[in-house]
Amino acid sequence: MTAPVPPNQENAMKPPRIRLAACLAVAAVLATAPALAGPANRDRDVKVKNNTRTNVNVDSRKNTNVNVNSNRNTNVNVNTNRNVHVDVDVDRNYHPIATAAAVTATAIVVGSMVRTLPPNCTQMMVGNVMYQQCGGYWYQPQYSGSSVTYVVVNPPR
Amino acid sequence: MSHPAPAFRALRSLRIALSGATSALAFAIGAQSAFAQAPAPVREPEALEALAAMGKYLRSLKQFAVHADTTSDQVLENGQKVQFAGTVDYKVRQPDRLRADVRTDRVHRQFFYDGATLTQYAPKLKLYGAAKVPATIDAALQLAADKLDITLPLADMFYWGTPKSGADAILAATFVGKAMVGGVDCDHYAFRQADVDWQVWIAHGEKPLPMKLVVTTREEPSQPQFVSVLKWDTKSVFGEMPFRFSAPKDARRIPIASADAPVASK
Repeated sequence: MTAPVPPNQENAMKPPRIRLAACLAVAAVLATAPALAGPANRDRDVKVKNNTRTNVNVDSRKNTNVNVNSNRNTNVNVNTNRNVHVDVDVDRNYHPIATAAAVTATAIVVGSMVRTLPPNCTQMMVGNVMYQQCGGYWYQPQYSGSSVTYVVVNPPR
Repeated sequence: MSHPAPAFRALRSLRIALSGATSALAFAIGAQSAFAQAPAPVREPEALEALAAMGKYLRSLKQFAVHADTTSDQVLENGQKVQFAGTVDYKVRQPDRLRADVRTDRVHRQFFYDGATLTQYAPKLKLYGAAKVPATIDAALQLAADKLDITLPLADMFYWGTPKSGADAILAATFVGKAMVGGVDCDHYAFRQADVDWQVWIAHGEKPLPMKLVVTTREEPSQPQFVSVLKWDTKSVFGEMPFRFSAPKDARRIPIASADAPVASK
């Protein structure tokens, strides 16, 4: 069961090639925006290593299991293959333009993980699972450690 | 012949010059090896005992609340450090109830532990995740770190005074001197471990509580630090409320990707 019907649902029906082209076109427009925006009142898109210890005895970074979903030891730039430029955390209720451009300009591959969503997403409940639908792409939020991340998934139907 | 031949004189001065250079070299090598062979690390019994006494006192507290003002260095990809401020608020009922509110400039997380389930909640995003964890705080936090990649700041509070206090990992322990933290007389100690240096300021008197903690991550070349200054409340009594998460109406549950079972990308 799906609710509510998002305004951009038709995008999901287009072939992947066209969706990617559309995203790239949007990205090209957005990519010029930060230069014009000036010192905006928003968090900068800062990449940090995020490896400062906050206690002596418990260190989850000792985990040797380095998969994309539980890799706190590397950069916040989670998916190194795709150069997704991301923020420290996305609790702020806005999406830096630079981040949106960086994310959409790279190929969106099922299984990849990002820390920020592109703009204009619609929250969807399918069954009992929450998704964000952004353009034709579906993202499932999850906790990676204590950070909220989004995994690109196939349309859940 | 009262004077040596010119050739001999030249040879002699060369020898003097050479011996000078050799001794300079020997001095340099000596200095270097003296540097490499810094005095063996000392584990001062006084410092280790102070740590043990602090741990024992912490374990004797049936319940407590502690507020921490924190600053945390983060390292940019170019090695430059930037600093984030934050707060941590714990409410604890030993051995099996814990609540933590962790805030930084960027993040707000709430953690609820009721003796069976650990729930984390992002109030702004209105997303929560929950996992079954063991029945004591220390075991629950260990599992959270090992399996869920969740590390609570200042988690040491729950390990000092237990067999898992980490005292064995301390390579050097030093009493630095007397200090004041927030108007409280303290003793300042410094500890060194393989990958981390840390300092603790312990209050004088009947209640040897940690008043300040500094953790320096040595394995990172720029050595970022996490600094927390603590304010203790050992008098308040808590019911069940602070430890119980009841999801706000518009909050959604999402999975916690564990080391064992990453979220499937269907």
